Amino acid sequence: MKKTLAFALALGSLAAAGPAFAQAANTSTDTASASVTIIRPLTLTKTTDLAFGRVVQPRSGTGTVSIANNSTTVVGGSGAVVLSGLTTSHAVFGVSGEGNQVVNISSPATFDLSNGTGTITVTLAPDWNTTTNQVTLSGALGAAGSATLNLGGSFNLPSTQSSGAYTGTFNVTVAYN
Amino acid sequence: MRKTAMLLTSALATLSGATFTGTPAFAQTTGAFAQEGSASAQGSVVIEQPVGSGIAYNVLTSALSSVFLSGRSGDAVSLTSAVRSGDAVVLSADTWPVSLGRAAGAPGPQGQANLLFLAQFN
Repeated sequence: MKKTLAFALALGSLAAAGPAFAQAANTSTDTASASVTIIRPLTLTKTTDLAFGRVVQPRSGTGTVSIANNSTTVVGGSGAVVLSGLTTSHAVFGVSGEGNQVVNISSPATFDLSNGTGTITVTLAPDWNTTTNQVTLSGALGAAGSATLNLGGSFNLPSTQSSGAYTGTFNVTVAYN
Repeated sequence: MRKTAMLLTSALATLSGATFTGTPAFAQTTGAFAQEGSASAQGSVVIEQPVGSGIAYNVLTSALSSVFLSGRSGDAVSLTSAVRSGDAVVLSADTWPVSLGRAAGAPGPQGQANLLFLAQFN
């Protein structure tokens, strides 16, 4: 034990002498800068569901049903007739986060409505650029920003479709670019 | 001193079970990229069967045998015609005979038939 301590002391004196000797020979100083950008968490909130209301199927053939991504009016064609009585709307999502930040959007091209036995495939019609699938939040860096995502939809309605109430869900995801 | 710092770093890595593959700045950038939000919306539609009205008419004898509504049993329909105004009926079957104030099957004088009525499915 005594021997070990002596060895440690010897090393300690060498270490103490070393740096002083090096500084005398050559000194160089440089500065690095550090930075960080703090951004708010990204939040996506569904504001309105995609509601087509009541539609009468065609007597024969296949009708069409659609709602634009900037409208609350459902349009029927080729024999499909839209009835009043139920609230109709396109889907609306709200994005909130850091201002002026680019956000990537992910949503399905289609989703299914089901009544338990039958299905109806709805093709979604987003209001953003579906080539880039990106939006830029409003505002500037350092402040809160937001964006609104709107989705319309359309589907074919054959005369053989079972009548009844159909429902289904679809997910939308956003992430900072 | 440098050795002590390295040992401390190694100990932290062991405690967290993580392997440092980059600088702390790199780790922050990776965390920001992964931050995302998700939400779901519901789609809905109610599909109704078509409704309407029809007649059974013999072109050879000019006999009108029946007038009927076509819908679904349980449908409520408001009927308005020259002789009936605002009658509300509930269909007891998918096809429902309409009485317009004259017995079905009793044709009127040729050329004088008046068969105009409004059926509103509620």
